[in-house]
Amino acid sequence: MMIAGLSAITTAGWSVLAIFLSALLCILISASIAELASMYPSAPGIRTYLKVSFDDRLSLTLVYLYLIFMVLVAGVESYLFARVTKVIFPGLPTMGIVFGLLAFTIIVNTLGLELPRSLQIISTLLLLLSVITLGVYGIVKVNPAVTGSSLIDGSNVLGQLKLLPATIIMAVFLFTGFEWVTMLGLRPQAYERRIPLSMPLAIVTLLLVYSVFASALSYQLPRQTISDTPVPQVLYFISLLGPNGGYVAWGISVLAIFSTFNAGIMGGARLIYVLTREGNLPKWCGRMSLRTGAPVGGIITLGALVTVSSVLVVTYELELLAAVVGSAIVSFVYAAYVLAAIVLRRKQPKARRTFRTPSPRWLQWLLVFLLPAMGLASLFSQVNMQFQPALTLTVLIVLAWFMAHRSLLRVGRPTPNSVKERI
Amino acid sequence: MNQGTLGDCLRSFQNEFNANERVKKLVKGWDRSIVVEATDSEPVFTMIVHDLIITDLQPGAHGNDDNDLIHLQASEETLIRIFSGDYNPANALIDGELSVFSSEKDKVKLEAVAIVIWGM
Repeated sequence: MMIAGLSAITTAGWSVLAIFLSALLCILISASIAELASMYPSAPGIRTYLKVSFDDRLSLTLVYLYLIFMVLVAGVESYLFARVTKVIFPGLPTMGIVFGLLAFTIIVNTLGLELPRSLQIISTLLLLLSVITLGVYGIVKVNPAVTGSSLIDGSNVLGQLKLLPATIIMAVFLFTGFEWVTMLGLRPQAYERRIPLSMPLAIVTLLLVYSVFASALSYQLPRQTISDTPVPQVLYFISLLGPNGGYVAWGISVLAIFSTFNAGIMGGARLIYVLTREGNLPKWCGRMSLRTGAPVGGIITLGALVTVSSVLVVTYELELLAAVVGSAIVSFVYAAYVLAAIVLRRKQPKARRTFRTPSPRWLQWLLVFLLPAMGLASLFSQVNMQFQPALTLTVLIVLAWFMAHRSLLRVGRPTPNSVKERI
Repeated sequence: MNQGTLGDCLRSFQNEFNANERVKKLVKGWDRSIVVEATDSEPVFTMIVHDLIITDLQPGAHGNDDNDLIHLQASEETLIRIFSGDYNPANALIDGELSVFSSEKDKVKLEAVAIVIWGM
């Protein structure tokens, strides 16, 4: 869908350039995140890094903004899955598919069920290899109905350059989530090399996948067709493989749901759990199954929020708006990560760091200013949306600030940290 | 803080752990070596959880099997506060005062043990 969004404002070649530059940005950001992770290994990333770096109000506002982003993304992903499913089962109602997907995900996660690790790895590899292989095939087997390749387009260079900052931030959306690996180190030594390396490796892998696919789309479908649908992969696979291509698109979507969608739901649920443990949210949000370890309260809370988000996206077709606003939010959060690394070098110069970002200070500061600026620019990149993205982001920032304010009032009540004191 | 302080605290925790029937239900089939390492002083201990109880508390870091090893790192004062029930380990993790190197399920299990022993 984001590739369709890029197609709406720029050509395939410039989209691929934006994806490449975005990957480069994310790799630089990951180096700062890796340094933070080496200082606070196994910590719940965003909450801890921002908490120790900034004042409570700012750090909580950013965390709530990130949570809102996760709710937006999950709403969009469930809608897109429904759109792809309707190609195979056109008689099914869109909202029914969305509710079915959410119910399935909530129930499975509440029960603490998860795919065995080996199956998770296999399904992810299958997903990546399928997209790359079918992407390369689409490039080789050009659709003769698509006149000329729009991949290399030398026209209107100045106009395309002006759009580049916005398209880069929109493309960052494609890579978000790489930072969640920081909680997974099984040994202290993992934070010296394995965790710092795993993020850029993941980003480079995704860069390859998205670049191939964005290029391949342009060899099979006219640009207008790509931008007219939020699920261009369906038309792509049908163009490439005939009517059965719809099943391939659906199969790939199912694989993606089992991996990224589910990971997003669990990540959001754990963030809600963390916020509850601090006293920032009502106690029922932090209910946990002692048997399975599933953050049941967080899953149900997030599930309810995602359901609302999905209903809004489906009813008003807000998928691209949500994605553009989500990209802008993430640009602020990533800038905060880089700034946190800078701040902690000053606040805690002697703290243990088993990894240090190789980026020079000036480059880190450049990122801190560039990322939000590009995020703001992306809000005005979709001509037909006018001020909607900017207004929506403003409302969401106010909401996040308000939630942070309420949390601080809640935490300000006498709530002893010591259990024994309470007894 | 001397080496005995953290050791005494962990011995006391061992007694509470082993005496609690609800904890036994929680750790059924959960055999682990839990390395407790103070980052600002020398004490390192390993608690061996086997057959529903902590069978041993050994000085030093022991245990090689990645799947059964849990490694906790914090300052000695923080570890004492945690194992005395004075500092919620989940909060310590969020505050960046404690590092827990283990699978996600084992982290949750540890917190569940703290909930059962000290109540929250």
